[in-house]
Amino acid sequence: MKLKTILLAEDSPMDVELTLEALQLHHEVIVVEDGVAALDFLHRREKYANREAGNPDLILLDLKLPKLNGLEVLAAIKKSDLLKTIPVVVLTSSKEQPDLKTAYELGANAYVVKPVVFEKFMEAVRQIGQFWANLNETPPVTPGAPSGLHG
Amino acid sequence: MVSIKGLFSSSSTRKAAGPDTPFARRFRNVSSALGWALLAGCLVEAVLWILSKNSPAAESVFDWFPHQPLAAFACFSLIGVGVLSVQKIPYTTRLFQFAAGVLIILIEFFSVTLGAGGVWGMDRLTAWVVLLLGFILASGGSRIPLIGYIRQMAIFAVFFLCALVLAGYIYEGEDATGGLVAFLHIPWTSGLMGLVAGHALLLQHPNFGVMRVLSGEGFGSAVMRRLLPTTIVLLLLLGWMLAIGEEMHLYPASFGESMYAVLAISGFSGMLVTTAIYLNRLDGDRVSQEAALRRNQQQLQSILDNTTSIICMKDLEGRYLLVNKSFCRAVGRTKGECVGKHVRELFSPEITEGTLERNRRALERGEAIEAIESISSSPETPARTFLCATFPLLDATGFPYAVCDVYTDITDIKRQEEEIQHLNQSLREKTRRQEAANNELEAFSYSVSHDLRAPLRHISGFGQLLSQRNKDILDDKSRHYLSVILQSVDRMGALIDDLLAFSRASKVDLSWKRVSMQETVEDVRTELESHWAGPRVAWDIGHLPEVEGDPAMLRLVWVNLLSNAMKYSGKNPVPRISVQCVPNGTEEDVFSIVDNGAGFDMRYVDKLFGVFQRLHSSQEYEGTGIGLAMIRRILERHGGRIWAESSVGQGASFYFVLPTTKSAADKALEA
Repeated sequence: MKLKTILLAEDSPMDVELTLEALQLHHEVIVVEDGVAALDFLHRREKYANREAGNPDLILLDLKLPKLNGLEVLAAIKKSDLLKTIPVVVLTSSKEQPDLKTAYELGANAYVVKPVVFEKFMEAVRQIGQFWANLNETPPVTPGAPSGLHG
Repeated sequence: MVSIKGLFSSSSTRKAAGPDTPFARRFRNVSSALGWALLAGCLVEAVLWILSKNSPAAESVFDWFPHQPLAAFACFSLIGVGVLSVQKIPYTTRLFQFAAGVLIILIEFFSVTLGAGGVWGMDRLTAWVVLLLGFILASGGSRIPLIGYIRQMAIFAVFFLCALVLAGYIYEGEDATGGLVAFLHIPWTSGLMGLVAGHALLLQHPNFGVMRVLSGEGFGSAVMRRLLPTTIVLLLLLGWMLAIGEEMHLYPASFGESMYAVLAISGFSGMLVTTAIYLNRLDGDRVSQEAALRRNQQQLQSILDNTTSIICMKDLEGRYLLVNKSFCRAVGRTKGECVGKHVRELFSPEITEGTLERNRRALERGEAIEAIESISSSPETPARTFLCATFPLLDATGFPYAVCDVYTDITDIKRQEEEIQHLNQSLREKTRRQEAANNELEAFSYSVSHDLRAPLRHISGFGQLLSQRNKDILDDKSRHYLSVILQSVDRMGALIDDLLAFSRASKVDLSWKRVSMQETVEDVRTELESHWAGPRVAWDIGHLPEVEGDPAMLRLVWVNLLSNAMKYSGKNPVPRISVQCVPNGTEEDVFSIVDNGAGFDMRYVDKLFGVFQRLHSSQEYEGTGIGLAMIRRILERHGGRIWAESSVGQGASFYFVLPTTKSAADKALEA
C-alpha cells in the first residue's frame, strides 16, 4: 500500500525535524518553509512545476510562516476549487482566540496547539496523521483535475 | 375729585374712577336685583289692575294692595329696565337710559299739567317722586361730576319723601287726613317702589360721591356699613313699637317719648360697644399685618445685604433706586452715594453702555435675560467674570417701572471649571498612556509566552530524542542531567501555559450569562476528583445561587479554588472542604471555600494573590503561583473581590464576593 502524502508547511527546522520524527515512518512528508512555497507546491509552479500531479492527502500548516502567513495560505487553499477538499490541520503554538476563530472561519478542518512536552507532541502529531491522512475520506476533486499524487 | 365720566367709557378707564372694591361689586349686584324687583312689582300691579276691571275678587285685593295709575306703572317699569340696562354700560344702553329718563319726565309733565283723573291721574307726591326719578335716570350716564352730585341729592330727596310715606303707613295707619298728611297720602306701593327705584339707582354707581364712603375698604367705610342699616332698623323698630303701644293705650304719649329716648340710648350704646370691639379687632389685624410686612421687609433687606451677589434696581432712565451692600463694596461707595446716581456717574463708559444695553433688551423682551460679562472695577484690578441676570419690574397694570440687575461673581467657579477641565484632560492623557502601556505589555507577554514555547518544545524534543538514542551508552550522571533538563522544561511549559491563561483572563471580553454556581461547582468537583489520587475528600457543599457572569471565567475561578483546597488538604488523612454562600444585601453574594489543609501564615497574606507568588515550595506542593492572581483578576473584572484567612496547619478559608447581576457589577466597577 502506498504511503499517504502530507504537506508540512513549517519554517522552524527544529519543529520540522521533530514532526518528521513522528510522521515519517508511516507517511510521505513534503516540507515547505514558507507560505509562497506551500502554494507553489499545491499549484505545481515555480520550482514545483515539474512535480508529479495530484494533491497531498493532508496539509499541516503552521501559522507563523514567512512571506505569506498560515492564515493567508489557508484562505487561498479554501478559495481554490482544486484544493479546497484537502484537509488542512493548523498546527501552531498559538492558543489565542482570534487565531482559532479566524482559522475556522477560513475553513480549517482542525486546529491543534503544539504541546511542549515531547511525548505529547509526538502523540498529537501521530494521531493527526493517522486520522486525517489515513482514516478520513475526502470527496472526489472536480472532474478534470489531477487525480492525486499517486495517480 | 372723582369723575363719573369713567362710567361712559370702557372698563379699564372705569377703574380709574375708583377701586372696584368687593363691596362696590356687591352693591352693583344688589342694584340689579332691585331693578328686577321693580319690574316684577310693576308686572304684578299691571296684572291686578287689568283683572280688577271685571273681577270683584281682584277688586278686593286692591283694598290692601292699592293700584297706581297707568302713568306711574309705565314710569316705574322704565326705571326698572333702565337700572338693569346700565349694569354692563355699553354706549347704546346709556343712550337708552337717557331717553327713558326724558320720556318719564315728559309723562310727568303731562301728568302734572293735565291734572288728576283718568289714567293720567297721579297724586302730586307720586308725580314729584317719579319726576325726580326720571331726572336721576336720565342723568345716570353723565360725565359731569356736578350733575353726579345733584343726582345723588335727588336720590336722597326721593328716599326722604318715600320714607315719610311709608312711615306714615306704619305709624299712623290710614286715619290721618289734611295738610302735609294729605300731601303724603299716596298708595304705599308708590312709596315702596320709589324707595326701591331710588336704591337701585344709587347702587348703580357705588364708587361715586357718598357711595364711595359706603363701598370703600377703609375702617370708616366698614363701620358705616355696620352702623347704617342697624341704625335705620333700630329707629324704625323703636318708633313702630311706640306707635303700637300708644295705639293700644299701654302708656301715655309723654311716657312713650321718655321710653323712646332711653331705649334709643341703650340701643346706640350697644351698637357703639360692638363697633368699638370690631374696630379694635380691625386695628389688631392691621398691627399684625404691619408687623408681618415689616418682618418681610427686614427679611428681604437682610437677604439683599448678606448675599454675595451684587443687586441693584434702576429706574427706566438708568438711575439707581436701590443697591445692596455687595454693590456698595464693589463700587467702593456708600448706599447714599449710589442711590439717585445715574449708571454713567458710577461706571466707565464701556460698563455703562453694556449695562444700559442689557436693560434695554430686558425691557423689550419683558422677561429676565442672562449674560456672562467680564468687568473690571478699575484699570489696575484684574477683570472678574459675572453672571448677570437682568429683569424688568412691572406695576399692577403690567407696565415696567424699573429694571433689576443681579450680578453673581463666577470668576472662581470658572477658574475651577477650567482647572477641572485641565485635570480631566491630563487624566485622559494618562489613561490613554496607561492603556497603551497595558496593550504593549499584553502584546509583549503574549509574544514572549508564544515564542518561549517553541525553543522549549525543541529542548524537550531533542533532549528526549537524545536520551532515547543513547539510552545504552549514557552513564547515570548524564541520564540524571537529561532528566533534570526535561523536568525543567515541563515546569517552564506549565508556567508559560498559566501565564497565557492569566493574560487571557485579563483581556478577553466577558460574555455575560446567567450561571448556576451550584452546577458549576458540582461539575468542577467531579472533574477534579477524576484526576485525584489523594485520600477521599469529605465535601460539604451548601446551596449556591445563580449569578450573572462569564461562565468559562467563573468556572476557572472554581477550578483553581477547589483544586487548591484539594491540593493543600491532600496531606490530611481526612480532607474536608466546605463550599457555602450567604447573600450580602440584595446585590451581592459572599462565597466561602474552607479546607482543613496546610493553611498559610497570615503574615504573607498580601503576597497570596500576586503573580508568581507562592507561600509553599514546589517540592511541598506543585504550582506556578498564577492561579490565585488569575482568580483575583477574574473576580475584579466581575466587580467582585477575594480575600483569605488562615493560620499554619489550621486550614485555609477563602472568601469571595460577587455581584448577582451585571448591572450590580457595573455599579461596583464604577465605584
